[in-house]
Amino acid sequence: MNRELILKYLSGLLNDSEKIEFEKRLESDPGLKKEFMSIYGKLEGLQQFSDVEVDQTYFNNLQVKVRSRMENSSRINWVPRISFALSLVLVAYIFLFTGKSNNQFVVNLEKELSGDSNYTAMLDKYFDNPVEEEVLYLSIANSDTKAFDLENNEIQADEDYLKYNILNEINSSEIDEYLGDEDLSNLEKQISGIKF
Amino acid sequence: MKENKEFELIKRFIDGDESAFNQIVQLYREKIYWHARRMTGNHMDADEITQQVLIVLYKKLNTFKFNSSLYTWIYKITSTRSLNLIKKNNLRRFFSFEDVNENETKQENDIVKNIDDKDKLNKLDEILQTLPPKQREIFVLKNFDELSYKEISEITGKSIGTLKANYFHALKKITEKMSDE
Repeated sequence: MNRELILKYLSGLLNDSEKIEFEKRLESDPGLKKEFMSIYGKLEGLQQFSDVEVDQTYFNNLQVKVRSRMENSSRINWVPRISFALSLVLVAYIFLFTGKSNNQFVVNLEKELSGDSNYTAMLDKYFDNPVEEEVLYLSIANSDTKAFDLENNEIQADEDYLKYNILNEINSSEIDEYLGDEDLSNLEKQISGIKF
Repeated sequence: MKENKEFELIKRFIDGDESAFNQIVQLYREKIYWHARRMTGNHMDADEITQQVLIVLYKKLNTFKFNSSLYTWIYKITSTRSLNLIKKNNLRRFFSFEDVNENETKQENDIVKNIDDKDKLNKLDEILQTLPPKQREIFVLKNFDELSYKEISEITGKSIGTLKANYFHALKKITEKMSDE
């Protein structure tokens, strides 16, 4: 209890009236005075820990050291720093440029799926070249998950349509003339079970 | 009186008189070093901070606005640099698991040669390290640099009430640590 009060006094946390009251008690209460002197003594002792003999040549040479450090820092070779900065800018540019083109295509693909006829016509013209089409789809599948998912949905939707077309082709051909009913039924079952 | 002399020295330095800077350095070099040493607890870091502060002083003294006294300005730079270095060292220690002999390396070329004096400083460091860096900063400024709460407030940017509360907690921890030994 006394210790807390002494520390508050030493920290200046007591208000004026508390401070006067504490100082009066300090005069009349030997126990409080003893404890106060003990704490005060410890703090003074702490200050004496810093009272040491030092090598003054360190301080005398300090200015010379600082001056030579300043001279060295002004002689810094800027070429590697500038090269490094330029490479960073270049990498950032390539990264941003590639990112932009992918995003643009994702938006386009969404537009395509939305059934915008003008846009589809423009794409049809563009996709006349099958190599370009494949490269474009591959780049989407490799670089952007969202685009990849959209493309996957598209393929999934087309799967049933594809199977239907194959069965139709079989029916319209004369193949049923060479196969029995049972064989034909087995073939249809196999086609339905194919995973594209 | 002291501030007038400092004002005159700064004016002379800005006007190109290098000897004025030397006088400023002579006035403050030991204060800067010891503040940094009590904060970091070793010679190598204190030396690094002292050099950094003197370089900043040389380069930025022409921007000094005379809104505060020179010593508050110098303590502000020293204190900030010390806290930054402590933070940097703690991070480095955390990520690289520096070896246990790190402290021995940092005491190489120490300006304190006498073994008894070294022991005294090690003891002081051990006690001061029980405080978190910002509490240590306030304790060192008040107890060792003997600055008033008003001056510490200008240096740290904290209110006097906060400083008193911080100093109270620092005193509590330090007296407890000293009683344990």
